[in-house]
Amino acid sequence: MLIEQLVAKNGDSVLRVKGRLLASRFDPRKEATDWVARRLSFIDKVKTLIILGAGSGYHIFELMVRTRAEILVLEPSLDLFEVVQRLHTFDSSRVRFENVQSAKGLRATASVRQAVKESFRVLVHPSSRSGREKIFDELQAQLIARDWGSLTWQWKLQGLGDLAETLRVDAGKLTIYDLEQTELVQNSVERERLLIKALRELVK
Amino acid sequence: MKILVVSLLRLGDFIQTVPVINGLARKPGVELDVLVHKPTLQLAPLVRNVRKWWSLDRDELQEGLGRADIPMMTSIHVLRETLDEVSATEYDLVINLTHTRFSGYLLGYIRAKEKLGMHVDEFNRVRFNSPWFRYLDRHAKNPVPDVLNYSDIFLQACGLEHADWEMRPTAQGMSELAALSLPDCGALIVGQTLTSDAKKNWSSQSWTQLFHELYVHDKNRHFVLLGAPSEQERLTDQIERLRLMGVPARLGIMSLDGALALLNRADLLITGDTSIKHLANASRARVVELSLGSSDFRRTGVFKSESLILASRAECAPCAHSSQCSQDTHLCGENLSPQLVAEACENFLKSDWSALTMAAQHGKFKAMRTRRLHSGMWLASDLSDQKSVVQGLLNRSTWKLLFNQEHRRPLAAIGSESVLIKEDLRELFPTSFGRFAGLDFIEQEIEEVRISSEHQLARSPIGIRPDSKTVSITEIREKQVDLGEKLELGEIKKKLIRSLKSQSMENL
Repeated sequence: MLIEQLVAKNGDSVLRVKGRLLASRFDPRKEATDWVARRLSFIDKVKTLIILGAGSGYHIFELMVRTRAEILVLEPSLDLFEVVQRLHTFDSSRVRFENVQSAKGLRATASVRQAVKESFRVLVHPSSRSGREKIFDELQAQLIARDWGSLTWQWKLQGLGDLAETLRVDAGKLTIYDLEQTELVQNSVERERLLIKALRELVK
Repeated sequence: MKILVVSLLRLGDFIQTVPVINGLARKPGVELDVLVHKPTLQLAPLVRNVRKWWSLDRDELQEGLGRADIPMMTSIHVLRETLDEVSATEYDLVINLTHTRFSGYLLGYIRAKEKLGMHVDEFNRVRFNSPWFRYLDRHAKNPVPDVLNYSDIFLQACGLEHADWEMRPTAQGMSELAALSLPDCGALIVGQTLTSDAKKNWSSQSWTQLFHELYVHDKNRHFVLLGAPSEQERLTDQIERLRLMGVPARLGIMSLDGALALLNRADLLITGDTSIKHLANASRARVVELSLGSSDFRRTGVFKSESLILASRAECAPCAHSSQCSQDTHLCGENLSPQLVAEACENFLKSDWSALTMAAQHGKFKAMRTRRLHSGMWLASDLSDQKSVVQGLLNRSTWKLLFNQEHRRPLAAIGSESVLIKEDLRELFPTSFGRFAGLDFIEQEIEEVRISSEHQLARSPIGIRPDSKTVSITEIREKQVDLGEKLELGEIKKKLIRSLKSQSMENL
């Protein structure tokens, strides 16, 4: 993959892949600040922020500054994965990069499996997604888990077993109501059920 | 002893719990933490004695469940992790002052040695662990002839006798007050003219007219219209209108710190049903509350003694929180004319309760005088209805005796309680005429309730014949408990009435 390194108007280095810029050519830091400002929900509360797309790395830096969360960057391109890590020096105690090329690969990645056992939020970097929509959407769906298969994977990782088969219908539209109805939740530890019921009250 | 107080509603609801927080925190050996909805954190600098403020962002949790780009599990994980951290503190006692299903489930999840207030246990049973909270559950929303103020319920449930509203003024508040550059002379009248609900608002024209009337009566007065940043535009319009009428009014867009500082400087606050009304309990300002729309002064009225509450006599008031106004026009607001309210404010500032009583007896509005009774409970006594005041006094003493199980003691506290009632009656009605008005009638009502309750209990072998085709044992048991309680309340009340009557005879 041809990756070019350009200099933005403010002097920062930005990357271009197959003619597509992965950050602003004028001020990539300001662009990253604005990007995070539009995605504030939960970012100061979750333990891990999973970022889809390494871009030119500025959005990763911005999240490091704005939160205390662990940051897990998933990048399908091995070349970009390496170039971005050469371009910046990230704090390795907080930022981890993974080269993931499929949903199956995602499910097998130890750091991902660990992250989804606790609170996390998924942030998709739009410039990185551009031109690679299929794989990005596949990875995002697996993590967002609004369908039976993905949610079952996450439930199982927490030792809670399978979701009820009845939830296979209406893929991608699972809600907190569905969760309350599942046999799994009904049979899981009763305290867990109190949490689900509490959240259901919020969306009534 | 580590105590956690849970209050997850809005700012005003939290302020109503301040006496409980102060009362508990001042007990020897108590370390008190609170769990609140995130916006309530802005009150943290003002509330003393709280060791740790936990918070939940209800709106964010809700957003996480609804938005397609946020993982299904995020809200669940975040809520669980927060509550696990709370549980790790190993509280001796958790008290729920929220009384919603949401909070009930959360309390069920939090681990603690003891729980007070609504919580759902792991077998999905709703528990209260206090007759006061059970009372709150049954009477929180239902239309009932008389009902206790929420702050009273909380205080009694926590075994607290005194309502300590103290809140700490802050440097930020004082600096916001200084920025208003208020003149040193002349009375300061503060108006909180906007509420969170259009139904509770008095019209802008009425407010303008009221301030004009108050200014014409005394041109040394100055006025501040208090509000939040989101209300700035509307309040600026009101200020402009007042300026055109020659009324010196300032705009007070302030934080709660600033509002408290302003209220400590003010002579009078005129307000709708707002959090500022509750904040005023901690200040030196006297309060006139306009109770309109869904505002129910009996449950959430200004707690400070010797305050004045004005309400409409419109039959639809108070209306339900969630529904729109059922009338073609805002009847309850229109029944309160600015001239009448201005006159009431003038009499209130002179503490002329006789004039206020006369006006209420002939006007289209109700006027209530708030009072911390000798029994320790709060009452908004209707100036135009002595019988309801007597009934209110009796009810409060009766509930207290029943829920605190004082009536079961070998030497029941009936006599002492009736002396307290008599003392309140003497102070509320300085002329003896009508002081014991309606005792016979109330006694007759109790007898009617007794006959009806006993009849209902005897109607079927299991107690009550439910109206629906399916029989709910839980519902039947609840009704049996209700009826049993009614009978017990009636018995206590009858004893109080007899004691009062014998005291009135002694007076003769």
